[in-house]
Amino acid sequence: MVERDLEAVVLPELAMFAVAPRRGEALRQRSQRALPTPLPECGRTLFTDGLRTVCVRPDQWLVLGEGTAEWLGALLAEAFGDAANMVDVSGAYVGMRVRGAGSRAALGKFLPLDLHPRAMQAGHAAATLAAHLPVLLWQADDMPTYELLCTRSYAASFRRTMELIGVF
Amino acid sequence: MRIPCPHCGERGNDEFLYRGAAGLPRPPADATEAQWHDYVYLRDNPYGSHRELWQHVHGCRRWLVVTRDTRTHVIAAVTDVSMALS
Amino acid sequence: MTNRLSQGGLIDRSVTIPFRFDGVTYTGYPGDTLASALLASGVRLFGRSFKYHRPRGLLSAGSEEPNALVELREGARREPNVPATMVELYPDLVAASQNRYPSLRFDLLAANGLLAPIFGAGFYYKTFMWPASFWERLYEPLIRRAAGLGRSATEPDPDHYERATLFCDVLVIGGGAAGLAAAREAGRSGARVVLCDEGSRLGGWLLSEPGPIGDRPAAIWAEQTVAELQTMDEVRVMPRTTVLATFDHGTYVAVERVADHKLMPEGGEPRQRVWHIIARRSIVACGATERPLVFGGNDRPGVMLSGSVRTYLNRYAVTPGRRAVIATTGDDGWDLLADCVRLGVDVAAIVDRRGTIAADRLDLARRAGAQVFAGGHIGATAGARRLSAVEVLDSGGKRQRLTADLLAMAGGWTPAIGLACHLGAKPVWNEESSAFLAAEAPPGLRLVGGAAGLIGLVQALESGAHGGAEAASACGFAVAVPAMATHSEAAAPLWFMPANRQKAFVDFQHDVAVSDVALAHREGYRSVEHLKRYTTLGMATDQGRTANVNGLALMAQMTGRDIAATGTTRLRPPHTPVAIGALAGMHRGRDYRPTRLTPAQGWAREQGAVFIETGPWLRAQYFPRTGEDDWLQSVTREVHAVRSAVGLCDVSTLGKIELVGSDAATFLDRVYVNTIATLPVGRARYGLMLREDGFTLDDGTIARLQPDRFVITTTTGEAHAVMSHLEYCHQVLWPELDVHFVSISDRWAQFAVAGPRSRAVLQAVLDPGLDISGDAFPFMAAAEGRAFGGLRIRLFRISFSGELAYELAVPAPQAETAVRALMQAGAGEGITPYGLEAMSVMRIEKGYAAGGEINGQTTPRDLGLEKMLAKRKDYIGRVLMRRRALQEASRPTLVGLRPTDRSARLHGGAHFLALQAPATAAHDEGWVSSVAFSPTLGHWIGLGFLANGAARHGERVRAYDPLRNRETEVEIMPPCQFDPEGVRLHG
Repeated sequence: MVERDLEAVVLPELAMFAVAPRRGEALRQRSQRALPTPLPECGRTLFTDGLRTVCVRPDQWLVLGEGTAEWLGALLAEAFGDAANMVDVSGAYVGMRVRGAGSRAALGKFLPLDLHPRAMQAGHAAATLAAHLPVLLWQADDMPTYELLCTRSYAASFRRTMELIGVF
Repeated sequence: MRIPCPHCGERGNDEFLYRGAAGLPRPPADATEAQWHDYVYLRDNPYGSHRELWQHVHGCRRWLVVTRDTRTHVIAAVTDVSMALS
Repeated sequence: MTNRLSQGGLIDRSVTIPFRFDGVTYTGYPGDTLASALLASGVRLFGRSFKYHRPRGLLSAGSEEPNALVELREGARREPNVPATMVELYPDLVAASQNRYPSLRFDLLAANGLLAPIFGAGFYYKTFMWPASFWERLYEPLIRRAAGLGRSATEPDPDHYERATLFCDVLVIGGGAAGLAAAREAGRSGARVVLCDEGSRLGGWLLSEPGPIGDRPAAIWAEQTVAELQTMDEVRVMPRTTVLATFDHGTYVAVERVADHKLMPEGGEPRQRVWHIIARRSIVACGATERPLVFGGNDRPGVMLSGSVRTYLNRYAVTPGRRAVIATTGDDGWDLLADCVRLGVDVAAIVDRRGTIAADRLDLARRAGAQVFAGGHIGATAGARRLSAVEVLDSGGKRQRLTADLLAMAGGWTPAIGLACHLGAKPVWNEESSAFLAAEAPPGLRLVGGAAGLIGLVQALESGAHGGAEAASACGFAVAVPAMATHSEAAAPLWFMPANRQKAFVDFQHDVAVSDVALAHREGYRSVEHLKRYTTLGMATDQGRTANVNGLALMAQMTGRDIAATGTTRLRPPHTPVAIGALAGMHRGRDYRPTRLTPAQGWAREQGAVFIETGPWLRAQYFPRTGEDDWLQSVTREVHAVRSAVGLCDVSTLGKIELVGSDAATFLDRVYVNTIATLPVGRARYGLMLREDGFTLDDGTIARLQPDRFVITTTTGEAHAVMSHLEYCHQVLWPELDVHFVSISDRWAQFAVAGPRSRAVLQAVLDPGLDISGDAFPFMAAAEGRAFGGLRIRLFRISFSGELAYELAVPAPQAETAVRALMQAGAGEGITPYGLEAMSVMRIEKGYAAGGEINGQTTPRDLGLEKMLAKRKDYIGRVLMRRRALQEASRPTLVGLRPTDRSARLHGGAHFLALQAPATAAHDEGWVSSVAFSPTLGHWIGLGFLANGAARHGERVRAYDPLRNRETEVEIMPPCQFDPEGVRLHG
């Protein structure tokens, strides 16, 4: 049996909120003390203890948590109160994790991004269009491990594309 | 074509939506119909440098002002619309 | 193998490879191409020319080959027009010649050659015109049978193709001397380098000549340099990869022939892979293509390019003939003579166009036993299916007939500048180089070696090293940039015979001869662009690589202009042919584009839905039951079910946007025509959005869930446009507003539950806490709540059917469970799934505008929705909507219609004419925008736009459809033809 140098799994359902600052509020600063995982700068992602924060556009973040939408909503309400505008988008995406030495070459058939370690490292995040699918992704670690999200209505096509390029 | 988005880095043009000329001041509510007509319909068509609006729809979704040469596609500058003056 | 030299060649003589060509079995060695192996076996005839079906042999040894095009493989993998020179030999390869019947030796269509005087250029423009009726019946089918070269496969392609993206600092295109030198310099600096070469083995011209480079043969230097490159982690060497195109900003497209050199792809690999390469800097090291000489009889099998003969001799150890004549206008023919002397090939004569020959060369010719014709040229050739004799004219014009079976032509070199010109740079004629050069390369692209007009081994190595180092340095890598050679070896001038007794070919593949160029000139087609299109010179699969310069130089001569003034046609991608399947990659068949499915897709399939595409979405159109044989039956049943009991429809595809912020209401007030700020919490409102030009952009509902939280809907088709529009308004027009909005289209599934019994069904699934009795939850109420035992939901009492109806939003991951629970809860009430079709019927019965009416060309007044326009606020589109022309009575406005003969059918797209008016555009009063059979009313109904429509209810007009040759008399009605008071809505 040929040993594959990459593995792929479907991510479990996560709670997810889109967060933006109310006029003039410095949310990133607040998040440093108020959230277990602070809000990162644009193009980056941070993760601790089941809570991930992602930024791919200025002044907007996605916060993802391994838990219910109620729990995450309450956590964020407590952290930001009136300083933030928040929208619950839990369930809007399906996700996949691809990891291993072969993942760069495999994802090179899908993503139009430079995945070379000189260009992209652990903690980098991006939104892009890959094989006509809108994709949100980040590099989680140096293995490398990548996590990719695609909007739910495209789930079947996303899966099919991953099969066609040999990731699944 | 590749467009260097100030937030996302250089990306292929298939990630962007093109709108047209940038920097045209929107007429005030009490402007005449003729002024609105000019704002909506009249455009210059320069053979050379052109300031134009693109939205990075498959990236950061920000509207950007791109200065592009219509002859050579050389892109001289890209700024987020929040930083660009009319 | 009769023509194989006993020694030498970059071939492995220890392995024999069997293969078949035109049904005959031959053998070759690893390292051979189909062309070299056949040549080694004594095959001279490779094809029949396009128009005249003249016997043709190999002209070259490379991708520029115009004659020896074969059909490779059989069955589903059969590929036409493959140059035999580019086919790597593999065991059990099968190939066939093309464009001949019944065989290559005896081709019936060679009779075309007798009609050559008629079949010249422009033939098609002057014939097949009369009688006109013969065109479809006779001429076209005849031409179609005779046209083309090879035949493509007629079965689906069993292989798959990939596409991938590659980023690098320096892209080196071409792996010959210049390219290898460039890649090595750049690679040593640590830059990310990609080196592409179309050959199976890198080295280019280094594989065709002995060199030496330093103390090693050229081929060994190439091998060792490649080995060094392969030790560098950041260097990627890509053989069998042709760069096809240059696009803006450092983007290149290349095709890698992954498995073409095998019987079939192995281990799941694709047959070919298309690469998008994004490079910060690029080096074009594609070398140069040799030009044929133009003289009568220059297309006979055995007449070949001199450099290609050297390739067969040195790289493949094959001699293309026993006795050669060499014709040259520069030094290249003498290099071939030296090879012939070294390898023992008999040379009868060398004909050098130049009058003075150096002493050492005369000496070489003496050692070869070859006659020297200084200032001479070729008069004619002889031989039926292979060259047998050559007529040479000396400088005095005296003729001499020489026996020879190989005539090598050295007509100078055309730099391969295509990739540098794809962005529009015009090639510039350089007199000193006798070549077109890319004077203005795109930023970041540099030409080196032969492609830059620097002919010669030293020049290639030096300019390549310089270019590679400079490119790496420009990318920020520390590297010393070596000095560059600037002079080049003397170039061979262009020269043509003054008169030819036989046909002298310019474009071999399209059978374009000097007589055709002269004809084009006589008839006034004298610009290069006209020359090309009138004669088809340069339009074949080889795109005139061995023809263009000769062709335009001939025209320059005929018009008396110089070549610089004549110019050349535009060079466009792709550089060499590429299969469309390779470009498509995975996007073929049902994978052509992604599909969007609603969260309850599984349930809909189980229910037997028939789906229809709306953009990328699949939507349930109707749900046929057993016994129903046509859609009208199913749709009629669904409509009856909704209006008499209750129906369930998946409306998840509509765009949904959630807006939050202290200025959310203000923002919405500015984009909708009606007032949103006054919308109470817990209520929804129908809204209309305009473009700045005053025309309707989209319609939808706005619901206020909290003082600063709204949910708006858009039509399925306009969701993306509305989102970009809102983002434009916020980011560009009003960045000071405190509002944040996000698409929630995929976050929520949404179901319409409609009909007199809909309330009962919902009450059965909602958790206690949300009272939806009539007064507590009136028409247009909106609320958040819970259902199905704790699941968060949103409920809106809105109706597109005109019935008592609700839309229930459930979280997408739970949609499948929720819809089944709804069906179960509604079983006792007779709940029926209904689709897009039934939904359309009902909204037409109610006169509600949808896609047919809101098509980007109608205003609120056209739609009869002027009452919605707010009077005391500004909104997008307000001013231009009020343009005088948009207010005129004659402008078509929304009406309903029904046929006066109730049994008649209505058709969308018909135009309105007054009963007695003639059917001309001047009397056109509007059109029919939507039609449906109304089960509720028992006849066909429609909506349309009629001039001054509101004032013409009761009038009869004609609905005229000239395209389908029919018309119906209709009665004009108010748009809403069912329950106009809305009694059912407010039930």
